[in-house]
Amino acid sequence: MASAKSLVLAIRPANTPLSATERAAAVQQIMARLPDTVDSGQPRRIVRQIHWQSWLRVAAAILLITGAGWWFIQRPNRIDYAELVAQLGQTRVEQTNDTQQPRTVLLSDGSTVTLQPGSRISYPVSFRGNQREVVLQGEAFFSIAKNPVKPFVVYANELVTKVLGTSFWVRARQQDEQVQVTVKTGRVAVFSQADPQLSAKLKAPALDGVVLDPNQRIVYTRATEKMEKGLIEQPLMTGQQEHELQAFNFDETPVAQVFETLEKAYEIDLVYDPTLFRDCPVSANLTDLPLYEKLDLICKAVQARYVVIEGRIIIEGKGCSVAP
Amino acid sequence: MENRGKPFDDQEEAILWRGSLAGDAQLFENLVDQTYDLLFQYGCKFCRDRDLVKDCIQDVFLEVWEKRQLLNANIPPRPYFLASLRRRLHRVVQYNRMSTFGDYDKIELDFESEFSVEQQFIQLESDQRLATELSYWLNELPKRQKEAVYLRFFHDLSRDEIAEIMDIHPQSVSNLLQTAFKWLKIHWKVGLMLCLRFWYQG
Repeated sequence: MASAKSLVLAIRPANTPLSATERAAAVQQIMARLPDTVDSGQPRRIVRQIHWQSWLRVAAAILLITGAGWWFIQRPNRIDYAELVAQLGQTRVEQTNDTQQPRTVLLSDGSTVTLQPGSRISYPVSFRGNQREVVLQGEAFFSIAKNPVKPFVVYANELVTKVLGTSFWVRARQQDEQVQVTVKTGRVAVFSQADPQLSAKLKAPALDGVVLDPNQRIVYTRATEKMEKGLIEQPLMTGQQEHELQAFNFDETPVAQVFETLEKAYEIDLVYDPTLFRDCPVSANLTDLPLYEKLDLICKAVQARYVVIEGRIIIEGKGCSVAP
Repeated sequence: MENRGKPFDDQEEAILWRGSLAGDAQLFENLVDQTYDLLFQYGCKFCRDRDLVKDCIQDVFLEVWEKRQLLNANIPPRPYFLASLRRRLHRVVQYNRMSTFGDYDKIELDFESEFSVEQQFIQLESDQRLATELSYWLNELPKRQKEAVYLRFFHDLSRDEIAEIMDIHPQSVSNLLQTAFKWLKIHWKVGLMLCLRFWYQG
């Protein structure tokens, strides 16, 4: 009965035909419906084939009303701009950008804030006390003058961002479901307003809390009160290394060295086993490619894969054996 | 289409799964693409309405994406997808039946699958006859036994994974499989060899 195996192999469950194009269309539809993490758009609607009967409608209506009431009671505490400004006291100035273009506001310490349309910021005429505190509603890019003894603090909805001197984006529109902080240069610390040790952490000279490095961002979902740290979608090179662009032209360069170059240029952690990848030479010109495409090509060349986890890039692979 | 012959690369799938949970949409797309056929075929065993099956698969994936922070990155994703799809199909079909005043007692969904013989794999005419016979007896199995056999041998899932998918105790899975083999053994003497083979795997 040596053919037993082949017998079993020959039997298979009848398949329902699904053409490659039909499957591709279905996959695309799924991807199109993913809630975009950057522009948290409308909540998705699920298509269900439910034939409503009238009694079911009544039941649904009752459920909806009690549900809405429950939701209203259970709603997490939302903190808005007016509340934050009132909490801080002091004589403050407010700037609102009602135009269609970004507008830059200069603060007394030399920092600049570029307000996006429909955003506003509240700040003191001059920064006194131990901290430089501002309140933001909407979206803005901050470029903060260095002052290690006087941290700069941005209050935006439920998130608090503390920095010593750096540049970063804050996006906290009143109606948005998410609050985001994205770092361009330097490091920032982010806390939730709900943090019980908030005031202590703000006073401490060190950066406690969730610390963001360049090209990392934090997304706070207001409904669930959850913070998620990750990499931004298109990591950019962090400024001054631009003159080193030609450094992305590799000729029989060990791949470990290629990884190091990327780490420096993007200020991103690449996690890999240096001994495994020691002997893999790579020849490629990767100038002008976005980071992920660079990685795609390199990984393909050395038969590795990469995964982005918690703002770091993990590279997995078997390394290189001696060429045949 | 080909679920057999090209086994899933578990390691690759684990990477896709972890990447997806970390929020990488590209890896997620690859994962969806790689598992879509499997889910579609499985879903169609319960429900003839292919658009409804597609809707449910879409809901399964969208839910995975939304709940990705809560999901365990260290479990194999395929059984999880299958279990979610099965639950969702049951729920939707149950809804439809209730809303059209169908009969409330019979909300268990039926697993309908026809096993057939693929000619190109058979060389000898005698083997052809045996295979036809075996597929005939497989088709005669009760529905739940059939589903367990389908998952175990045509999708290579473990006993515990099948238990999770069918939402029953692992021991019940063993019982279903054993009953199925006993039955095959009685009806099909050549099956004895195969049963022994499967026995030690299962």
